[in-house]
Amino acid sequence: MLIEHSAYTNRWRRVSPAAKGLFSLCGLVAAYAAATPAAACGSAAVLCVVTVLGAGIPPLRYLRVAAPALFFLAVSALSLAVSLKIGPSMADVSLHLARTGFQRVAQVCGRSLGGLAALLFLAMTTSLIDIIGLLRRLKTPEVLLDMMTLCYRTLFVFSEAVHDTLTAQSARLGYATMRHSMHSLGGLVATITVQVWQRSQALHVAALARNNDGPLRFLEQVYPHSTRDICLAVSGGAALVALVRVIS
Amino acid sequence: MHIMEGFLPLRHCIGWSVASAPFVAYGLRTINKGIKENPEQRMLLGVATAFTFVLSALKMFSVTGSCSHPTGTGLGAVLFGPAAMAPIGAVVLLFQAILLAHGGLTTLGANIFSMAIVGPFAAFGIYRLAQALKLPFGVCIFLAASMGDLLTYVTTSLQLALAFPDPVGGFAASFAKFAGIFAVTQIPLAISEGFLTVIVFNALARLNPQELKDLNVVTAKEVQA
Amino acid sequence: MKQQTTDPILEVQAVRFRYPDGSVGLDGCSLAIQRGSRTALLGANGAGKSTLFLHLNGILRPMSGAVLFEGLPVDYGRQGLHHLRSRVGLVFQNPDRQLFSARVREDISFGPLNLGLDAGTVRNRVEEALLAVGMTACADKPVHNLSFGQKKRVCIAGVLAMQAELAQILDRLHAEGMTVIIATHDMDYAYQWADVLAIMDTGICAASWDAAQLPAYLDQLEGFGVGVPRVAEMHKALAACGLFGPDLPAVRSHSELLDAIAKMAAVGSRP
Ligand SMILES: Nc1ncnc2c1ncn2[C@@H]1O[C@H](COP(=O)(O)OP(=O)(O)OP(=O)(O)O)[C@@H](O)[C@H]1O
Ligand SMILES: [Mg+2]
Repeated sequence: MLIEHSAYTNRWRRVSPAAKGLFSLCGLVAAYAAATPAAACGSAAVLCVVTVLGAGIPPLRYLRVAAPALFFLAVSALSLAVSLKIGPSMADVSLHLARTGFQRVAQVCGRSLGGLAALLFLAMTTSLIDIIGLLRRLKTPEVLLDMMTLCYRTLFVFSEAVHDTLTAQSARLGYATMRHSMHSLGGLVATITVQVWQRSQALHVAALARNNDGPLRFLEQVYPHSTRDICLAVSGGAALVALVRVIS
Repeated sequence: MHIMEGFLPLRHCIGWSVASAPFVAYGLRTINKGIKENPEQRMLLGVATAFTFVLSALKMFSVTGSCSHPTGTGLGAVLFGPAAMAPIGAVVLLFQAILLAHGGLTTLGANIFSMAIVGPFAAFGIYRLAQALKLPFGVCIFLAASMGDLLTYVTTSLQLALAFPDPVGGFAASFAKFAGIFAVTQIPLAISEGFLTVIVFNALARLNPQELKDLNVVTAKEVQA
Repeated sequence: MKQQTTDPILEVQAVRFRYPDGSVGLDGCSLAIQRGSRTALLGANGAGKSTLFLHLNGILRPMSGAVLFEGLPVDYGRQGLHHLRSRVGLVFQNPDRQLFSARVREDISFGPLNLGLDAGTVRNRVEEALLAVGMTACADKPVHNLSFGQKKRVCIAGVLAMQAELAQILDRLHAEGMTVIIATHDMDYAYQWADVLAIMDTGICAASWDAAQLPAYLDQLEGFGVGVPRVAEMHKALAACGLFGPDLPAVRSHSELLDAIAKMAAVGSRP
């Protein structure tokens, strides 16, 4: 997981998540506040540069992370650009490039790029555990927080189990043909399914052993200079929004 | 099929979030009640969420020979119930947005609606209906999983069409466009996932774990089938 | 099998326990753990070691028989369990089944916060526990990037931070005056480390010997299928050759045995 790796290794990993969250939020606001596609693209470019240069994310990794979303954007933009005309009879269907639609497509693409850059800024600089901590401070319902904490921990346990089983199955030619691979995959999912109950039971027992009888409680992480960082992030974000408004 | 960050107009983002919120809240209430009766459920839900996330990251050979990812909505809905799937799906979608940049934060509401509400409820409804019609267990599961996927994809296409009606052909034309373009990947996916889910339940029946027997869905008779 | 000093901190008396599926966990198990001792619990797979541990911490409740903590039967009410679990810690076999949070410090803080301590105290305890297990340097890594042994250390830190009086594993804990019980299959290690060796066999505690007295019971030990300490065997064989006198103090580790042999050789080569 490239994003996960970046979140733990980037230069800003110890910066308060509240600051990074606010800056990312400003990025989203800027994407929606941009009146022209150029302004939105400008905002995306600024966010991209801040992420790559500021947090020290390798540009190639950044692109690889963005690729699937860009693919979705390309396909969707294509279907927006093409206009479908359904005539009175079913045979009367025609496709043609909608010239009036071009402006709209550009607008959507610009906004999506701006939004994506804002999302990537947060995702690539902040570990999920920090984001959960932030949500805890924002008074998210306890059950949801517990689900997130446990999910984040357990998903790696499961991925490891999946990886090991896949390797073991492949070693015994479990994925040699498509038919085989369906069966192997089915078996794999079934074993993991059973583990859902076993693992949750084990975690429950472990929680009891440590005197738990309710929601999971953890110590809040403290971040150095968090007030300073939040001020910086908000002024930077506000400047971005202002810039976008001025360009458009 | 996740709608990406920033793709939907603001009004639609808000609208779909408002539409999803009551389902998630209802799911959370059900879960809270469950936890009061049975404290183990707290862990079960967290682990189930991780399971759903990992499932959606698996590579699956699709019937066309291409690779795609299962959505797990059908399996999840039958195992954990559709009400619980709304919060579970919400967390999974949030994680996908942050860990994989699939989907987004502004489009979270819309994605929750299609993937964590329509999909699981449809899958569960179809599963129950098929059972009431006394269809064989395998057919019930296949229909639930594949129809859950299909309806998810139809919902996403509807959401896109509502946001971007075609300037010439209007909503219907736009829906046809989106549904048509994503059908290439989504219909084979639905069929493959249907098969996969049947195989999973067959394998589960062979493993025959106590845990699934305790679950109301797989009764002893069905496990033999 | 009676201990000479009797100040048992924990005691199980004829405890029986069946799991819901009918399999027998414990079948009338009796054992006393002396305060400040090091006890190694040995036994084949499925002998009931883990089941016994879950009783000591009050997670499982005996179907018959009793568990005594400091001489009093365990009170299974909320308060009683709170008291027991704040004093008796438990480290599980598999760290992946014990760690809840992906952040090391968060996970360690889980137990002390459940004890109702304030944030400042908990913060201090977390740092102390990290230091004690030598994990301060790794504390900022997410749990899933730690090695197996490091995860295990985090588990131990989680128990230490609750300042449990009875924990399993590690000499260091024992040096701090804790009573330590470990379950292991490694007879050689157990013989070297422990004061008391308790043997579990299909749900009962079949024997409990002072490690120093073990050589006298080697024949009995062989019957339990948990192996025999290799140094003890070697010692016995050498004694049979007349190299050692029969009443030599027990030799518990490889290096002690080498020393003894060297001493003998020095005596033998003297003109
Ligand atoms: N959750 C459970 N449900 C049913 N039976 C169980 C459960 N846990 C343990 N048992 C059974 O109880 C018996 C004792 O198991 P226990 O885990 O205490 O063994 P152990 O001595 O710790 O073994 P090992 O050395 O393999 O860890 C075994 O027969 C086991 O199959
Ligand atoms: Mg064990």
